[in-house]
Amino acid sequence: LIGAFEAEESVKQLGLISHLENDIKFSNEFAQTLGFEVLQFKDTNVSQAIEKLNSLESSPTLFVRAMSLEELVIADQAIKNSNRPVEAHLFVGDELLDKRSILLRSHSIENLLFTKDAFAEQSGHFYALATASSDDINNNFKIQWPRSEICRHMMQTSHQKKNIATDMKTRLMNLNMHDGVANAAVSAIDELIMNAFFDAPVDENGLQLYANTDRSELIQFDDIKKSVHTTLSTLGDFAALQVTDSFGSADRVSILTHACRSLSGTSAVFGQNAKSSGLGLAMVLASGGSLSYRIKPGERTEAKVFFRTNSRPNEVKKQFQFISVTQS
Amino acid sequence: MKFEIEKTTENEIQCTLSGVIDENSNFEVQLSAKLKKMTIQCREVERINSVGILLWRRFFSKVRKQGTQLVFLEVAPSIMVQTGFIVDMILKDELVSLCLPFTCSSCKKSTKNVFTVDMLKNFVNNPSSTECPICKGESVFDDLIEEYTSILD
Repeated sequence: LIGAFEAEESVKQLGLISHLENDIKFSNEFAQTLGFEVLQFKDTNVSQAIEKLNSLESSPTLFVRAMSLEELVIADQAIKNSNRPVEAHLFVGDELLDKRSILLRSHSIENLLFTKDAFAEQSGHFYALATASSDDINNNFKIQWPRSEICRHMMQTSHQKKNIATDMKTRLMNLNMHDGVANAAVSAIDELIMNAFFDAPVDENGLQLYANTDRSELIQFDDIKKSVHTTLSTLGDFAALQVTDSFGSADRVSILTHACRSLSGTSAVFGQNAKSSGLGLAMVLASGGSLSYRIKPGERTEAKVFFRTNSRPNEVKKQFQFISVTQS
Repeated sequence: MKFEIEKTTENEIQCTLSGVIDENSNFEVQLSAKLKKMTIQCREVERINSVGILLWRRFFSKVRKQGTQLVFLEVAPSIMVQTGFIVDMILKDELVSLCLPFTCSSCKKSTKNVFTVDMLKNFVNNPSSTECPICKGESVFDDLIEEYTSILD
């Protein structure tokens, strides 16, 4: 795949707007892996940087760190006003999580990269996946996911979850995954399956059907078209677990709001009669995996979480995490 | 999840939790109103999901409210890592001992080593490796220590 990418004639450029050591390291490694030329913009703001990027021949990929709300708004506007498509990725540290309403409304940012500044050491997973998908014909890299499928399950009842989780754990252990990381991965898919059965189903008016149903109750889809699918795929040292529902009711802003809330350490609040804890996404993120949602409203939601199969728990928790939510 | 009661008297109960704590976990144990102390051994809790956390919290909140003292022994890593963001999962004074995950540098085997709270405090200042019970190689702590110590703050 790298070879296929290197065969491209045009030079790809990566614009970096950040002075933070971690971001520079991340971008340099990313660029080196994918054969990008790095343009680091110093002493300039996002608008000026975009202006310079607009004068380039190729469509740029942009990594940007906005340190304040004002910078974030400027970045958003500049990317929207660009005269060519800019593939923008936003580094997000603790400093911006409380500014999430602006952050989340913006569709100009492809991916949010949660760098966990204090210990962002393992960034390889991000650009390894980018490498894996860099043969895209449109000459932009898109984060995709391991495609070599190990297993696929079709679920028509919520009670199949336990067996699926057990099967996934066995298969992950067969990939020589560390027991602790395999447990984290299984926890993530446990939550995603529960979401698919209890939160995703909606009626014709978009109202949730089972959100207030006890999670131990049996939900059964008699219509085969409404089944939930799970897959486990690998690519080199990476494993991706995917859950797909056929409702497409997930919403980009609410997913990212939940994500920011859990990453900013907001304590969970439980109602006495609540059927769910509202911690599902937090548990997925706490597993250390990165997360991608692709939503086709009214049709399907694909939620994917991936892990490096040869990492130890300590390494998984120190890695960059990204969240990508695409809503078509 | 298995919830096994090992010993019970009028004032005290000792039990063991193990397996996966999830939406199917049954915490509906009838406890005597006179119960003064409940000791829970949870070394073998493999994992807990979000609904499991909800059920755990509801059950132990109810036990606390009736005035029973809770004592948690050998708390598994899967539970310890939740204590950082679920404030009343286990209270500071209820934790007696916990398990820290170690991985052998040679054979990669993971093990759980039991630490009392005092041992944990010493370990934070002087982290040390242990001998792998399988290959006698060097086994090192393999997680983020702050996830295990936040309950002590």
